[in-house]
Amino acid sequence: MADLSVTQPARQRGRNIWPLLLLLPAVIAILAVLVYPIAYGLYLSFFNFQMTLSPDQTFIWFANYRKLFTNPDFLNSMRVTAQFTLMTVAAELVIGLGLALLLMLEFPYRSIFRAFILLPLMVPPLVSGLLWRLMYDHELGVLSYFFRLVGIEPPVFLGDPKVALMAVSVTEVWRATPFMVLVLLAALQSVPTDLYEAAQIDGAGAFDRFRSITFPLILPVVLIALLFRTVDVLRTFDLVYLLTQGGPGTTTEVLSMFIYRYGFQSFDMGLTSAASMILFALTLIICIVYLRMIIRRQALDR
Amino acid sequence: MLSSTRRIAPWKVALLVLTVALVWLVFLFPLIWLVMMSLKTQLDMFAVPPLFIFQPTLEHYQATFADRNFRQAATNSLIVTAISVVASLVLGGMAGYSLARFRSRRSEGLAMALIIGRMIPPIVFVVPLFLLFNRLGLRNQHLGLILVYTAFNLPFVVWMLRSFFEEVPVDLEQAAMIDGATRLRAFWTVTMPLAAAGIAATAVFVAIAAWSEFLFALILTGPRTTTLPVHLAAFVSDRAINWGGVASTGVLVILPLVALGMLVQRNLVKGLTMGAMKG
Repeated sequence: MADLSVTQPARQRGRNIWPLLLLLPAVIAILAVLVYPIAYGLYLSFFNFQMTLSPDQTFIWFANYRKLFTNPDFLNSMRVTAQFTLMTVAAELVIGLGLALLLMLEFPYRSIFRAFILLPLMVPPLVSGLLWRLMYDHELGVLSYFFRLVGIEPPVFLGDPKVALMAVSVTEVWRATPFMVLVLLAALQSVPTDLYEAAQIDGAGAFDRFRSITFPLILPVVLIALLFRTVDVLRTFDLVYLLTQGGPGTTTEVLSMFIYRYGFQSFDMGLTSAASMILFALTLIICIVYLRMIIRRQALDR
Repeated sequence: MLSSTRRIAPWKVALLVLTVALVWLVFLFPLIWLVMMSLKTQLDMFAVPPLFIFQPTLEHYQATFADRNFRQAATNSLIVTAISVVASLVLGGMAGYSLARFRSRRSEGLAMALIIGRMIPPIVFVVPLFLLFNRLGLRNQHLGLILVYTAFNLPFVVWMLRSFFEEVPVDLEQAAMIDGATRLRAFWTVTMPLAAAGIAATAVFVAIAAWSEFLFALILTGPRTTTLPVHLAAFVSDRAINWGGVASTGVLVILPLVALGMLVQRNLVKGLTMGAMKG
């Protein structure tokens, strides 16, 4: 960042301390509260540090990482996280795209519908968890009632190992699909209508038009939306904490929950730090893969 | 698309509206249900089958407002949110202005760094921050949480404000400076008023994030500094859940967020995607 003033006109050279001075407080805050803790976490991940047993930290190279990859709980949480992320983001994309296309049609009160779809997005994940726990309750929950109404015996939504992860995923799909709708709608609206008219004259059907005109044009935006949703689902904590605490057993224990449990119930800070670093690395990889795809797309479009 | 829908028969339009209304009802039902639960008497709440029409009561709201823990948590949330908004806007505004006005060849790289900064899962910071704040005596202090919220929102704030400042033509500022104004004065009298809408929207986004944040608050606060989300979660870990209290507190947590969300509707897409999309 040292060469911020390079492109400045020469006459301003004398005052070029300003750009740096203005950046400094923010940079210091980010270094102190974001960068330093990550570095400290990386450092801790090479130590054996059982906080409750002793304050001693012994350097053990990569032993924590090796321990993680033989720890069934960790491997389970990786699997759960992957499954949860994939099914949640996929469902959001499909439903979100469907609703966005629905909102592109012309019908009365459309703007009111557009405004109301955003409401779930304003609900914090924690409150969403609460809300759904209220509805999932086996005896008193309204969802069990709806199931019985149509003649299906409701599962114990949050207590059945086969259903619990799906139930958690449904709540996140409910809360975050409006994000997809909002972003995809903005993209759909930017597709020039004369392209459709031209295609229609050529006799292309609705599906053909979507596949060959709309989808390629909104693809960069789809990728951006997928990036944001993937990393946001990957970090899920509040929701699981409130709905299941990772249970039944460890069937809904996503990575964040695993880290929380080992960190603040077993206080194995070395192992926990190593797991945190793996989650950090995963996030970075996902970001880089998506960003490269997005940048390549946009470069092609120009 | 526009031209084709105009020819559709009225009954088809009615059917479409009906379908959309049904889908929307399903989507909004959880929120409607939460509000209903918060307005039911203890007896109505546990009626089988569930009641959809009932005599509403405000007893849970009265109980919630009378609860000293709730009032304490609400006050804490307000303090932490307000100060983090101001702090991140001041620090982020300075940095954003610097990046907007003094361009660098490295701004693409910086953009990447800021976006990635926004993406890192908070849990990654939790263990080191817990240990560090323990040592510094910052746990169970408003200051600790304020520091975290300020720093975590900075990448977003810098990014947003930079783009809003860039939208204000440099010429306007320079004109003021030629008339003898200092850069600071030019900033206050020319740039700020023009970027005000964007700055306000950014503030709202930070407020929403700080008001809703749970994980850091869970780890870094104690009984005295508990924020609303932690207070709310504590309801549930009790063995016998007080559903009326949960529902009314939940509604009270969501209400300001809905109000704030409506304020930023115009900038929603931009804010939610860190300006990756203009919306």
